[in-house]
Amino acid sequence: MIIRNLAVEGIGRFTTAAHVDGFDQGVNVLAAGNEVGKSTLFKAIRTCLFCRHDSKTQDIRDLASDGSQLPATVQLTFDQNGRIYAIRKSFLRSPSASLTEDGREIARFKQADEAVWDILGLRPGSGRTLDDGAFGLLWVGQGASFTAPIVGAGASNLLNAAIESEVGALVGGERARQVLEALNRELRLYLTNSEQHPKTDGPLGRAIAEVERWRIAEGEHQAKLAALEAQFGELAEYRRRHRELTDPGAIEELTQELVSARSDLADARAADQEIRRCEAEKTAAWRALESAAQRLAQHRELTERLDANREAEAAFASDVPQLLGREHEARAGVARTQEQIAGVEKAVQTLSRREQQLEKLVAATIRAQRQDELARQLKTIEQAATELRDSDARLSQIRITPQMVEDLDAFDREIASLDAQLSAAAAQLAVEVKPEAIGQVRIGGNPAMARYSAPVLAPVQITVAEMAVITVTPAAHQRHEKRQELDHERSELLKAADVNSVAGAHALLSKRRDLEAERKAVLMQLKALKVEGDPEAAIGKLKLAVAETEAAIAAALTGTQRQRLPTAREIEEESVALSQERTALEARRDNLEEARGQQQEALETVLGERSGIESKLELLCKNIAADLVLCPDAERVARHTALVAEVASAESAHQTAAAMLDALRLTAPDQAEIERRRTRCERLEQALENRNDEVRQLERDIGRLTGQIQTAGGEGVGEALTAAREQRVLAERDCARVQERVSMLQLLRDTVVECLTEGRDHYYVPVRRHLRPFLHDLFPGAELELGDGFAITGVKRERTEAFARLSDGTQEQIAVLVRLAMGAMLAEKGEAAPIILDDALVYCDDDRIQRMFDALSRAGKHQQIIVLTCRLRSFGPLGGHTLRVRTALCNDDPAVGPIRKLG
Amino acid sequence: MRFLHSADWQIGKVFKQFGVKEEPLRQARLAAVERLGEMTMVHGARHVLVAGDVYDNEAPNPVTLRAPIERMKAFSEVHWHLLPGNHDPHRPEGVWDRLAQIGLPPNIHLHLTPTAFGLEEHAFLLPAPLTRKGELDDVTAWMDTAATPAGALRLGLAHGSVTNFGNEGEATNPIDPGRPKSAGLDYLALGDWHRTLRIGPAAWYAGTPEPDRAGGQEQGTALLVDIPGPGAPASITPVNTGTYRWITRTEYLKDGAALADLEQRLRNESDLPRLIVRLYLEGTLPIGDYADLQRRIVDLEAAVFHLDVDQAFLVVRPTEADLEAIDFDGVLRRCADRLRSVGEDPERTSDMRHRAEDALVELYLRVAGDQGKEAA
Repeated sequence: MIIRNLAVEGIGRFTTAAHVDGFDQGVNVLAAGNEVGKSTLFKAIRTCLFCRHDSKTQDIRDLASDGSQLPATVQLTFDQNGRIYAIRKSFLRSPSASLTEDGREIARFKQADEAVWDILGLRPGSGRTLDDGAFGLLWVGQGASFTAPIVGAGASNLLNAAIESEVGALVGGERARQVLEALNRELRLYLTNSEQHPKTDGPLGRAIAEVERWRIAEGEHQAKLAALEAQFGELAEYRRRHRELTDPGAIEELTQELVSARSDLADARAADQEIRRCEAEKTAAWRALESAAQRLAQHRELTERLDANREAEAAFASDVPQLLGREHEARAGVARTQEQIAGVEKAVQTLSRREQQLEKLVAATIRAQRQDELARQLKTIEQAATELRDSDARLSQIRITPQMVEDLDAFDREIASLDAQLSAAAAQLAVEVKPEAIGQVRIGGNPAMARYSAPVLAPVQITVAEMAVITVTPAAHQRHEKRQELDHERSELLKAADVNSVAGAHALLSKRRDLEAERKAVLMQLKALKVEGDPEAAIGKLKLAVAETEAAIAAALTGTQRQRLPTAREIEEESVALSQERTALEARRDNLEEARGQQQEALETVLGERSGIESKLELLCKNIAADLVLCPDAERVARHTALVAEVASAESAHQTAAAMLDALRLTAPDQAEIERRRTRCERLEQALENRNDEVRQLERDIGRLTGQIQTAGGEGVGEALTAAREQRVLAERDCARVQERVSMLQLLRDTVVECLTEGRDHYYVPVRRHLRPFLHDLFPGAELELGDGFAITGVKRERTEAFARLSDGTQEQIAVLVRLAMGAMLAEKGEAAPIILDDALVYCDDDRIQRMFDALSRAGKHQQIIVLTCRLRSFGPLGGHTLRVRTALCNDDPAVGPIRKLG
Repeated sequence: MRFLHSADWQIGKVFKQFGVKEEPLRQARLAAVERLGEMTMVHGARHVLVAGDVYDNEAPNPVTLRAPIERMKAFSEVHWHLLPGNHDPHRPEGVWDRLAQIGLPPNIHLHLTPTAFGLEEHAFLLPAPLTRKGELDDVTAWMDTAATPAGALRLGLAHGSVTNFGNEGEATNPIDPGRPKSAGLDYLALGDWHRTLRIGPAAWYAGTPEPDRAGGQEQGTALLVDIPGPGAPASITPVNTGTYRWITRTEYLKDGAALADLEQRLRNESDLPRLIVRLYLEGTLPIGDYADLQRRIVDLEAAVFHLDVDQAFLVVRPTEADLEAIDFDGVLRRCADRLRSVGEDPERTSDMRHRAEDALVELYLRVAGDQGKEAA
């Protein structure tokens, strides 16, 4: 089919007649701005071909011009199978349809509607959509270019026919799909969508759950049975042990053994007690013997002591007189030495007095030296004090102060300033005195010179000899008053300062300053002499010091009975002599002291000896008296005899007791044996008690276990376990069967998919062959992956990418390329239909769009391509045939050309 | 003396693999007890010696515990002699103490200790009860020195595995096959092996009165023992006591004719409603015949009491006709060819080959076989 011409009226914005010309084979481009009506024209073509003329669908109503009273008319001229057909339909108002073939009308109205479908190979049917056959595949409305072509049944049939003519049919494809669908449906019952896990509520999930349930139940019953087994074992053991423990023979044997042990222990204890008693007796006899022996020893000791004391007493008594003599001698020596020491002490005192006198002389000498100094100092201070008084007196006469001088200077300055001002403003008095009048003219009392010129600041008297007195008085001015005031004040100040002039004030001030400097120097001098404040006080102190010095010197001379103070040499000589004498005396005294000490020691020694002997003597007497009380001499022999007899008797009794004890020890069990017997009794008692305890515990345990076993047995745990085990085995078998079925279904499904894919891939070979050049125009080396029904599933370049994940632009480009390929395939089989693209390729970059133009140009070689676009500049390079819309209103508009009335 | 020898009643055994048919099988075991009583009465005997495993486990629930007692009670003139076996050993507070505690009628005797028991004036029973599930020693050894009056019959009653005589038994409890001679027994009544088996002229396994597993005895049996006198050879007569018959068959199939033959032979078995069949199938079948086999199996399942078919060694080999039934060409045919090649590939594991075969059958049933679908 080749579209040749399109005319519309009452369609969209084309309220009047308009037509599109320029159609030809190959690429046709209608490039016009927005709202020119491109898409409307596209819809008009489709409506004209696919809608009945009397249809009043909303699409047709929307297509008609708003408010137009004319019918919505579309006329399409096209070539098909070598004939030229023109179909003209009017919609909504006065609907009509007319079909011409090579200029001859061949059908009208309904027949025209259906004749067009016949020509195009379409068949109306219930539920058939507006777009069908290849047209639905190849005519892409505005905004629809992004989606992959959805191949309808008609197009699919055409494509399948084209493919099958080349490679044959995909035998069994549909049946395989049905089988596949059924398999997947069944697998969905067993598995989740990912087939990674069984569906919980599916047969496999339930089978697995059932296995687990019975496994758990079996485990629980097994545990119970194991517990029961353990209890059986435990019970049997307990009973065996109970029988052992309650065996009468064993009990009797143990009891007898205990009785015997107790008897043995009692015997041992009795023997031990007897030994204890004998040991006590032996101990008592030994104590008696010791006591008797001790008394005998004491008696002997007493008599011996008495004898010894008497001997000692006699010896001490003979030593006492000798000691008395020695003491007397020692005392006498000490006294003599003491007298010598006293003599030395006295000499030392005398020496000390002489030394004191010498010291006084030395002090007096020092004072005498100091006296001269004091006198000089006194004189200096007195002189300075006089100078100071003079300065003060002179200063007191000078009344000028620096402040006064400053004030005077200020007055002078101010007066000078005023004078200057007054001079500047004052009249100038100029007097010229002739030579002959020199001396006769006086100005201001002063003889005037030949020329005199001065400002008149104050009244000036000019006296001309005796002839005239001229008074020049300046004009009264405020400044004059001021100057007078200043003059007055200045005069007063000078008067107060007692000077005649400022210069005098300065001189006087200078003199004052000199006097102050002199006074300051005197004060510095006094300060150097450490005189602060009034010098009279210092003078007074110095005079007193001098007087004291003189008095001290007089007293020293009087005390030493000298007439004069000694010289330093004399003092030195005398000092040395005194020192030597003192040294000698002290040495002598030390010697005497040492001698006295020795003598004292000797005396004390003697005294000590005498004292000791007397004390011992006294003690001896006491002891002797005490011992005689204990044992008078008359009873000594009798007592000794009695004590000896007592010792003998005690010794005999002790020997007897020891013999008895030894005999007992030979026969009685020792402590170790007693301990053994005691331990044995304890052990046997404990064993008996343990046995009884164990029996009681066993009876409790047996009762407990019996109850537990009866309960467990009553619950039929053995049966339950067997049942659970068999159920588990059955469940496992069932689960395995289900799993095997699932595996088998998966294997079958996968095999069907494999075979189906292989068949489909083979089936799509023609499609790929037509698609490859178009695809490689944009994506060199790429391959499309196609699914069922020619669906585009992905693109394989370096790797496979799902179609849905590609960018919008790439998707649109691929969708257009696929349409081009399908169109080419159909065209090859004689089913050529124009490809119409309305505002497509909107997301192409500059490079891609050029490639798409290449693809369109390629497709245009085999079929008519009609491109509607508002992008005039971008689509310029596409080339092809330019379509123009011409209306009756604008003949010269290149976009809207001349209108030729239709019909 | 005449008595019945039985063993291995396994009262309380569960048959979960039979599903809803479990209870009839459990009840059949109790019915066998009744039949023993009846047989005893019919043949004029007074004693039934039960050589162990009266109960299937030593912790039956109270109803299971009492059920056989109630059956035995009904035959008050018959003396039932029960011996603990490895499934129900005598242990303190075990099943036998429980029985004793509930009180037994005087015609039910529990032989819980190895002591001679006078059956009748001139007949003594020497029981060898088990007190553990497994004994390492021969518990019948005591019989050698067991004293009985001179001229009295000595009848041994034991549960265990006769040594050097195969290993069919469950228990490890060894029994010397020479015991009858060493102990001077006129008869040794054995239990443990679930088959009627002669060990010696005076030693027999009675088998179970109601079979409980495939591969054992087909019919429930007891032994009617007749001993004329001390030292005289015993006359042994098996008597049927069972309700259900358990048969095991292994069949080789190679075509549809074999299927038909198999079905017919099975149908020719007697008393199908009480027939329990374990069927092992081997061989190779085309898919169509395999589908037919499944259908026949369903039919047979309805005909017998229970049918358990093991097809692990039955291989399905599709013919060209099978494959063409799937498709002559196209996707599904290629799929079928591929599955067949996997099924015949010796490099593949056995599981994978079976799976591929099953998948091929599945494909066949889904695509070509309406009848097969029904069967599946």
